[in-house]
Amino acid sequence: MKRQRTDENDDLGLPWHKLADGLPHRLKRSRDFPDTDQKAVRKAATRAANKMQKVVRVVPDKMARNRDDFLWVQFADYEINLGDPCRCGGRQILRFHEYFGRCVACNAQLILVSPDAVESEAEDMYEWDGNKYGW
Amino acid sequence: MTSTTPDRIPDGHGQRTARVADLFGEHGAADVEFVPFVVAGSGPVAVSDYHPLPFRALVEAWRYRKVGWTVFRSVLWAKLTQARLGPTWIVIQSFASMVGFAFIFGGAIFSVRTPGGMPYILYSMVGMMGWQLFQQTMYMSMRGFRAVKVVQDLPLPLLWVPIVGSAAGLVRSLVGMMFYVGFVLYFWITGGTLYLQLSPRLLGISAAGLGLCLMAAWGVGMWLAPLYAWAIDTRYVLRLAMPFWMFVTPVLYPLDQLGPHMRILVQLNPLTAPIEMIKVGLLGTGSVHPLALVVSLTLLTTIFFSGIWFITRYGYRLAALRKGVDSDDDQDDGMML
Repeated sequence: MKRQRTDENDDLGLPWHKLADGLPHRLKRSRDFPDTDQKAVRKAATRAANKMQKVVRVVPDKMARNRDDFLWVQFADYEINLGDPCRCGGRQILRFHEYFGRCVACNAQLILVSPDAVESEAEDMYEWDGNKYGW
Repeated sequence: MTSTTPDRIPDGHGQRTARVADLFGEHGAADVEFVPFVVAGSGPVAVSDYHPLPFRALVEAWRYRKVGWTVFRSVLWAKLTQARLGPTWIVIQSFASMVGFAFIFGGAIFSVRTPGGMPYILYSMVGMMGWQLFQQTMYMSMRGFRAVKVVQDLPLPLLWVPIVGSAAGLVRSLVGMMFYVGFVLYFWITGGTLYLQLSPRLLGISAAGLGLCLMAAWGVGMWLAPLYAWAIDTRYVLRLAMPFWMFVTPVLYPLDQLGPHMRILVQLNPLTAPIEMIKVGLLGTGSVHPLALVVSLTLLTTIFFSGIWFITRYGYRLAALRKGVDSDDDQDDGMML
């Protein structure tokens, strides 16, 4: 089936502000987002995150039989490399997941990036990165 | 535009905080873009694992309840559609286990006498209702880290892993309860006797018994899920222990048919009181001894809260050891053991 092409600045009509509550949200193709490429959703989420001065993590749903149809989206306040301080200068990070932590000083939710993954991110920022995103 | 500027930020030494408005000016402080304020040379960054206490873990799990429900449905759908016959297997398995035990213990091999001469199949189904809720939910909970793969990508509180992982076990138990209702209706229509208590108080006692069985299943599951993710031996140990545990629980026989010494021993089993509560509530037979109730409530509460502590303290570390292992192997066929 031919999928819709999306505009470069298209937000895909998703309520990004509602989704940016710090909790993960599962999005389904044709119900929550248009029948388009997952990359377009990821780009739209990244643009929305930039507008809100946040960061976002978008991963396909491993549990779904058709991984192409489901996405998990989770916004956070900042993204930092493991070992770096928080943007507020806080040097104590509570890690509650391999890719998520919280700054003790400012309580910001952080996406933690392994330094090894940063180099590969530059090579292809819109391809799924196994080192960074865990598969 | 919503600003993410914090109200206060550290003063650079990590001990005191300063108001952002004091640093950037009162007016417009919330509208200016927050400039990264990283102080160099203040010592290494400490990244420590977060291990909330059980009550705090429960509060955080409640905050993620919508996510938990979404994952629950996803796990259930995956289980229901993994076989060619789909959910038919749940119906077949529930029926076979309930009727099979009734056949063996109700006359084919053993002849267990039931109180008041009620049909043995109804008596055993009520006992099996509680036992299967415990057993199947626990088995599925144990496999939580294999079923809930999304936990590798998302910070779902680990408390949710055995709970949502047990989705298929809960549905199977629910199907078993529907079979029981079907048999009650059958004996009512054909024999004219309704083997069911309709008093709300007694039905409440049954519901409490089922609730305790569920609490036991999730409590044990919270211990076993990380251990199973770490070592498959957990399953082998359980395979040996579960039949023994079932026969020292008054599931298929009335408690008063045991000798006095054996009865005291069985009453120390934390599942005896919940199973007896279900029988008292639904059939009006059985008895809940105060000793059994105290032992059950004490042990089950301890198991449940220590399970929360264990899974939040060690769950991630133990489960991460198996990261990257393909869980769709022949060891995880969706069967109970």
